Amino acid sequence: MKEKTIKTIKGISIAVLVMIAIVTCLETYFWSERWQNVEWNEEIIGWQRRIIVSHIATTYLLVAVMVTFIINIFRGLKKGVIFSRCNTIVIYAGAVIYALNSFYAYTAMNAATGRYVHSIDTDMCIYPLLIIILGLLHKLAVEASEENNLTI
Amino acid sequence: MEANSSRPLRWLKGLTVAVSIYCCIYIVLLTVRAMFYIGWINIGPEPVKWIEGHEGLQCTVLSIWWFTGIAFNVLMLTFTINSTKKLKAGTLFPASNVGILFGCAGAHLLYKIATQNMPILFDARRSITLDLGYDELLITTFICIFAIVYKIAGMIAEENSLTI
Repeated sequence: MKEKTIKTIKGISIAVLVMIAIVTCLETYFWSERWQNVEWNEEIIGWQRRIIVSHIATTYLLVAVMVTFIINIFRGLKKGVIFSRCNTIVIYAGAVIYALNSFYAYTAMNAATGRYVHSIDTDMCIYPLLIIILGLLHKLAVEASEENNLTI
Repeated sequence: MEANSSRPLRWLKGLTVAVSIYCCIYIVLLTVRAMFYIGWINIGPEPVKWIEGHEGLQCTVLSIWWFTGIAFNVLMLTFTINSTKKLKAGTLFPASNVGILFGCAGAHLLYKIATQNMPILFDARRSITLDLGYDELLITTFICIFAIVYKIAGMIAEENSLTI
């Protein structure tokens, strides 16, 4: 691989990591603000806590998945293997966690205002589907690159 | 390669069909809803309460809401169809899809801003708000990251002349 391409990939990956760091800081800041304004309802307080905590947890999980993906790219750059099988699994995991995160994000809005309502939005299906498409393309790239390595 | 990749390819085709159906249904529903608001169909959600002196703003919000909603779904449709089409030609991550993904992120952001401003149509508010909420910004950021990752994969595939 060309030196210039490696540098560009590293640059873009670092930019993505910075974006992720900013998003994580914003998430932490916003939830520390929101937590004080949550309208706790004594009858459903357990459910409210569970939904809000699940939302925060899935957001951090999603961040962890993205960071793992970038770290795997860096590892691959060192070894010379960019399309690794483990990154395909990481992408699929990202799709599942994203779907859960969307569900908890919309429901947490209701929980924060003391309403016992589970929200489902079309965003919950369409983005995970797009991520799965990326995962399938990645899988094809893995198979193609493995086959290329076998070619003499 | 053919035998190995047939399963993911089949899945890709299936998902493309699913996304295409979703986008088409969404476009139709969005248009029907816009018709309800304008008052062309009299059953369903209440039409826009036109306020003298504010018609321009109301019209802008309604048009942006409809147009960006349609644009977002058309772009997603283009992304999935483009992916499968180029895959048949052997290209895994076509460069043209990166622009489409960034377009998706922009359209999503504008659509959510317009949705947030829908109360203007029913005289519940009379000024534009850009208060989006953290989650919407998060989704836009994720789409941008998705586009960047796609770009990286495309660069690597091109560099290694990776085709299937």
